[in-house]
Amino acid sequence: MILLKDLTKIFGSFLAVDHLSFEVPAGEIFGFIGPNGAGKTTTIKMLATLLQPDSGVARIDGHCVYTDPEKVRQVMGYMPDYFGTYDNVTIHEFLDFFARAYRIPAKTRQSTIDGCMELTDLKKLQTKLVSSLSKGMKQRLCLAKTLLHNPKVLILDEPAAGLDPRARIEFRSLLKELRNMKKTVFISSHILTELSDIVDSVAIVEKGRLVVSGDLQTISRLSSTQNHIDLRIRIHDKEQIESALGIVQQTENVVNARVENDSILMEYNEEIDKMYLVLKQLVNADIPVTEVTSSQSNLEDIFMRVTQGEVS
Amino acid sequence: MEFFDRYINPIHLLGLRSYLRTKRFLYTFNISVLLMVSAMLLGFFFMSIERMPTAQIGKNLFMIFSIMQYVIIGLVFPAFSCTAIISEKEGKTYDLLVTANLSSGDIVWGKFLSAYTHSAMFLISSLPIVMMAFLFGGITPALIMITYAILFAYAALIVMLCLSISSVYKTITRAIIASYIVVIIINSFISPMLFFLLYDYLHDSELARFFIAIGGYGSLNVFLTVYIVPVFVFLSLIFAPYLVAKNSLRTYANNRSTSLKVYFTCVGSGILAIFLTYYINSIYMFIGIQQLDYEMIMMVGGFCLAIAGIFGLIGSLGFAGENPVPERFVMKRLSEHLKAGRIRRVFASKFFLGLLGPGSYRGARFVTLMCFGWTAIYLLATWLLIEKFGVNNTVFWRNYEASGYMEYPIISAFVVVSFVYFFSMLASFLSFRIRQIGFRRAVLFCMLLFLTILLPLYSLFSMEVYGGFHASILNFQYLSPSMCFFWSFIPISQFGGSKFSCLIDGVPIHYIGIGVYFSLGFLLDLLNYRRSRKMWNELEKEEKEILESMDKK
Repeated sequence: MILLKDLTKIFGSFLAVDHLSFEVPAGEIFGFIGPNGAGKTTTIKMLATLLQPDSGVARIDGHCVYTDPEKVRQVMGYMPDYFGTYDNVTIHEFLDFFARAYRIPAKTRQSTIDGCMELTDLKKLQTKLVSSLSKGMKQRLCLAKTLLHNPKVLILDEPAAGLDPRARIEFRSLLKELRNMKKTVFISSHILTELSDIVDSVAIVEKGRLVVSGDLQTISRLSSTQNHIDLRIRIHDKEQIESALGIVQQTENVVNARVENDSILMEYNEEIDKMYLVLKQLVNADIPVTEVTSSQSNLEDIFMRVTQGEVS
Repeated sequence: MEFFDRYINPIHLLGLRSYLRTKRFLYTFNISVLLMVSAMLLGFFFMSIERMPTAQIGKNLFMIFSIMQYVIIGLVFPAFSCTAIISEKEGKTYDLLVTANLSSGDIVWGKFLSAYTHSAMFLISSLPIVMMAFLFGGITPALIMITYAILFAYAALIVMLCLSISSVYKTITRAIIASYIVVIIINSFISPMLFFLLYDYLHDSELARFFIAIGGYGSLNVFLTVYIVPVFVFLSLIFAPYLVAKNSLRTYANNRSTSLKVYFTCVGSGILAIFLTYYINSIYMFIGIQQLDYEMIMMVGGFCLAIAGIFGLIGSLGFAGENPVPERFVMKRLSEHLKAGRIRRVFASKFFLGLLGPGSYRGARFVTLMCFGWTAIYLLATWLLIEKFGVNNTVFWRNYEASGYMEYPIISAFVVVSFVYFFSMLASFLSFRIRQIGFRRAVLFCMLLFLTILLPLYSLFSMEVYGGFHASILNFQYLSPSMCFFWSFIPISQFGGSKFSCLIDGVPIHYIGIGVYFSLGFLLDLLNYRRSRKMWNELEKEEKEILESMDKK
């Protein structure tokens, strides 16, 4: 749905985006992450047809952002990181303005506006002035505006920035709803814990260059210097927990094994498929194992591992 | 209702909704009305003390009203538009407008309509006030209508100028300062001029009678000079800031030139049309239908051609970055429309207009072709008049015979075509190098080249052959070679023989001119062709590589 090939942007002598290439499949929520100054907003602005690329190709739904910006805007909804609103107009008038701008026919305009207001829970507030809305409500309003022309692709630049925890949770559920509506969502955010729950795949950029892209599991595997999983083994009989710890510690590739309540926690420097070797040792020693859980690296871990905290 | 709904500009609607609700509008509106009424009442009070005749009071009150209107236009109206676009950028709403698929034209037009509606409300609200003057007599409804027409036109100019300033400047403060400086400068020229015209009219002076008389029995050319040319210049002036604003809002620099090219084409065509009308009138003269004021025609025609030359030159120069991209996409887009049977889209397409407009190599070829076409039509008309309709007892015929060169009209025509060919190719040649030398420098260079090398060179030739100051002065016609046609209509006797003789006797020197212009033009044409092919090939190669790598992926 979104394709970037060698996308480059230079401001004077400053290389903001350096031959960026990746692909976003249709219907996915795609996280676009990187430290400050990594070139995220520049890339997003090029995708949103607001900035002219210096070289390379960017396509949305098959349309080139450079040669066919009008067609791209028809299939794309863009929500910037910072945006303003018009004072002295109500929520309904604000949405009506954008519906007219998107050239939604008069016959269907009202129903479209109503639908978007319901989705973003703004229906009750439609007669309120935009200037009186809170930050979270304004975010919702901007999202409603972005959805008016039923775009296939949504490009959201830091949509959760500045929101309180409740508003963030609500916004996340809205994104999930958008995924259910088969929209492709391209989202950039600094709040990685928020993203890790909802994104299908990510691209991590640093100093304008792509560091890694793909689904979370693949990235985790690619980004690890060694195979690594955290294991938690729950033992039914507490009296046997010490002997179990001894067995585990003697097992190959297990490090930092320790007891926590009724479980043994350990780091296992092997692939997840080899986990049975640890269990086999315990079962052979008649240790009553009741539960085994493994956790691979989360988005934050991956991010910290692959980036060096540098800005271009 | 749905039909009209489609044509409502959303920005216009939003502007009305948001601004009319503000207290600022309410205060400004009422204070301006109050000021105007106060000035009128104060004027009436003093005039009553002096026991003036009622008709005179009416005229004076009308003068006070007009002055107040110009003050309000200068002070209040810029405020409606001088921050219109920059406030969108500073308020972080501009990106939302662009991604909502509103074109730069939609944005500028919507902002203009919005500001102009506010201005119109101020002007219309003053109508009951002017009726105070109407009560005393001395003024006519026609005068009020004309005054309002001028006020509305002037307001449109001010609003559009300030709007273009707001699109160019980076901060609100700078835009406001620049707008008011421009408005003060314009007001200091236009307001006194309009004031004195009005004063003249109201006090029955010679000037007023002249203007009134023109409408009744003036010749076509005088009518053109007094009515059509000012309206044309006004529209051109109002359209130029519109396009400046529109272009400065375009996201991609490569697309920025199209509308300016269209503008220069329109202005160029307009000047051509006006000029042709003068020609037609001259032909009317030629067959003895109407009298013609030669001096007026010469003056206005020369002025028009000088402007046409400058516009044509700038238009043919092209703009930074436009050369490498458009042609390929133009053809692609046009073929898409044609295949889909969208014929109307083809003609409405900006790409199509871009294809026609001057600018770059393609434009230079088009300009030459157009000039050649017009000249051919002119020659054919002349031939038909002389040979087929037997019109041979006129000024033209006498010149034609007196010259001793039967090919004289053809030579004149070739001078025009060769000159345009050379100059448009030169402009195109510079436009290919515009990235290196910059647009302003290219214009300057082109003009300097013309004034410092070509013209004196040609004049030197003339002086060498014929001697004297007149010879070199007369060759200034080559700033706008179509003047040759005019010269050909004027009887030798009007210039006392010697002054004009260099043109009539100097036919051989025109052969040299034609030869030089065509040779240089052709040389530049070859260089331009080479350059454009090279650029084209590079682009094709680049795109092919990208597509191949995408296919592999």
